[in-house]
Amino acid sequence: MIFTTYWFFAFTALTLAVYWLLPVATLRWWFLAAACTVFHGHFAGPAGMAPIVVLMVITYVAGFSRQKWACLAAMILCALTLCFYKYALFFIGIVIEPLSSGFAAQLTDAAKKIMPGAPPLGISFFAFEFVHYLFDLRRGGEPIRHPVKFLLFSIFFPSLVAGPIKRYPQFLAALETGSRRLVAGNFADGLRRIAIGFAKKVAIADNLTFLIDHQQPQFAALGLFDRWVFLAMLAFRILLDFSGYSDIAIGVAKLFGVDLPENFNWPYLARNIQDFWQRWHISLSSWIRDYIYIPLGGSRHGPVRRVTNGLIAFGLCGLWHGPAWNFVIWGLYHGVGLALCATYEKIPGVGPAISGVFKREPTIGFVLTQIFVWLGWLVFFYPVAEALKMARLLFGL
Amino acid sequence: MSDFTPQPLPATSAADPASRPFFRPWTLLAGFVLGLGLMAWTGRTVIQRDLHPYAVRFHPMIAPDSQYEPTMGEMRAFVRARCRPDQILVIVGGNSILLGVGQPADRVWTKRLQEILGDRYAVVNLAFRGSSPTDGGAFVAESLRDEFPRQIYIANVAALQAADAIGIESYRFILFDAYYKGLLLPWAPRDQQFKEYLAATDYKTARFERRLGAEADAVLHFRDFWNWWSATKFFTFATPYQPDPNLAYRARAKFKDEETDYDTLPFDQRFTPSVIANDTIITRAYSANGYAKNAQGQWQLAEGSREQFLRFAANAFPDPLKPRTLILISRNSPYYTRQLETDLQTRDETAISDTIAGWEKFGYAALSYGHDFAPEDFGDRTHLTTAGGTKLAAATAPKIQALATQLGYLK
Repeated sequence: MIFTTYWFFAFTALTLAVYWLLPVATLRWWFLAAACTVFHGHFAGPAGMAPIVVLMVITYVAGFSRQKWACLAAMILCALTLCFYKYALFFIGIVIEPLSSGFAAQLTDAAKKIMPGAPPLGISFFAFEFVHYLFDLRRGGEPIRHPVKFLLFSIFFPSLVAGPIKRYPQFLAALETGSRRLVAGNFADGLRRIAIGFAKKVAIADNLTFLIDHQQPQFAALGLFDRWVFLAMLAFRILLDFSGYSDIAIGVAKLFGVDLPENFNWPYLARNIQDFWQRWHISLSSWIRDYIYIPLGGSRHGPVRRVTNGLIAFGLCGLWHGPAWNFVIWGLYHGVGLALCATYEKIPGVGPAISGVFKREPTIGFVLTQIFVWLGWLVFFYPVAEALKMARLLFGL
Repeated sequence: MSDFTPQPLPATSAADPASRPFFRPWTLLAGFVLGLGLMAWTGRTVIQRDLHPYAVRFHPMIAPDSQYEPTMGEMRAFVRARCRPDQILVIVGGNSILLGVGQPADRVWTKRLQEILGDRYAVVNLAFRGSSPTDGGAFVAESLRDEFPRQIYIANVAALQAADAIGIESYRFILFDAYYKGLLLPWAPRDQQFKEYLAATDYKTARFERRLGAEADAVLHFRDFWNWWSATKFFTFATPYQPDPNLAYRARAKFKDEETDYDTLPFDQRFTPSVIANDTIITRAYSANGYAKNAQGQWQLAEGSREQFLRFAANAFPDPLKPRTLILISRNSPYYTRQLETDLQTRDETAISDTIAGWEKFGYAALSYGHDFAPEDFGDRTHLTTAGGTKLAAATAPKIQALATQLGYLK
């Protein structure tokens, strides 16, 4: 975890001091861009930086040209790069392996020779932000002409590792406003946010991780109450870990005068699945909505297309979390949940009755939503068979 | 889901009451700096008192075995609390054998050693499981060289066992702590080895990170602070390493020393068929590396192996500390060695003699123990029972006294 390294502390303190000592905003941008490059280089290494730099240059040039075909080609390249580095081996396993195991083995060997040991740092975030940029340019958005600002949008270090996924108009507006003068309030907000993030991540989530790892092998031997306590620990671990990380990123950005988008808004207070996805990993869910769900047709072509589009979008959302079936199933599970949530009222007879109950007793909706979401974390964290076994045990089956 | 339309963010204004922070910003920043300074001062101060007044050694609940990493400050305070300035300090380092695994706290061999040596000496057990002679206890002893100039350091090795000047990876956190707090003597071979360790290509980033942490800690004393907190208030993170997970957060100093007592464990529980099979293989290999018979039919160490061992021995400790260092050469239990062919027994004895000679060549004191021990003195292949510990203390005490005389400590 990069945010808990001494290097990160030292780097942030030094960069922050120099940033605010520089007399004008333009100089601050240049300096920050150089610092972000050092940061990226330190954690990604040359092999991790190279593909990102290539994508960055292509995206910048394509955007600068404002040619729709160039933007489309660059978007495809970003998607293919992400697929190659993150999903090539997974796709070979599920597509080629059943047809020819020998050919699959050859392809795997060839891919491993080209690929670094791990995907380039933050490749998913880079790909998503570049696609967003290029997509919005195709819709008539203004390109970022200033190369330093584009560099900052690409590798702004607080959000480089785990988001939030930025939108360039908001980011540039925030950068231009926030970097002009040092606002003490930003410092206070930033420090407070960082402290909250570290408390969530280090004091709570990391401890929950230890307890979960310790108890999971004996899950079947736990009492029914303890099994639900385990599930609650699992649910709060991922929330506090990830939202803690986002808090630190948002807090650090704030120290530099930049507002990053919020990523979480009390998701475990959601009253239905739609509400949950407006509160959980907001920058990802809104990206999926804007660049997958809506371009596929969204809800514009009847309930069947709407459900299908939702399942595709959430299947991809699941896959984004990692190249494994359990993530895909987790995404589809939520896709089904959203489809049910959006359509149950239209079921003749039963639908309006259920809807009425939820309206009269919102607590029921809240409880069902949390059970649905929390059970989903079992599939997210464990192999599907193991998750199903644990789910049965939770209900004493 | 609704369509997204990019909107520029409203400019933030410090005057906007809605965005006004709960604390005044500069007050918060000053509080942050002051709090950090206060915690650093607290860490530096509280670590000077003994955090483990009832401990006789660093048992698993106050050792890395249970995710607890003692700091140099903590171990130095542990020593200070157990040794008066007028006493000769005997620090016992080394591994689980000298830690006294198999012996309960009230019958651990270092207690017996203290009884034999009497009040003129103060024996402090700073051994750790799996530790090498140059780890924790060695650095603590070295760091106290001026405060306790009349000191003897004891550690153990197997025959021809290498002892890196920078210790082993599991306990390297102690070296980082000691090195960056400036507690060690300059010692070119160790400094060079540590430099190469930090620069190793595959681990450069990770080790630079540890270095940064150690350098920051040398100023801020955050590890001292948190160890004080964890030892006396409550442990700050969950660890599945203690028997009951409900005790995960219990203050470390409240745990008792509950090392296994081999005297209460029946022989067949300690010497199961699989343990015997495995330990027989290890015993047979005790002196296998580097030995071959010469023309006269005697076991002889290959020149390359000898040079490597001597290089380790020469570099293990700084020159000024070698004369006060006593290296004990540990043997295997006679339960196993008696089953060896005479030829292998001879090879083991040759290896032990060569080891003693190798250490002594550079000015260390060296002593092998166990040649007259009975099988009952060992709880397993290497660890001693209470009876074995008593014999070890009896064998070691005269050597310590002789060393103290030789070093002029008794004048």
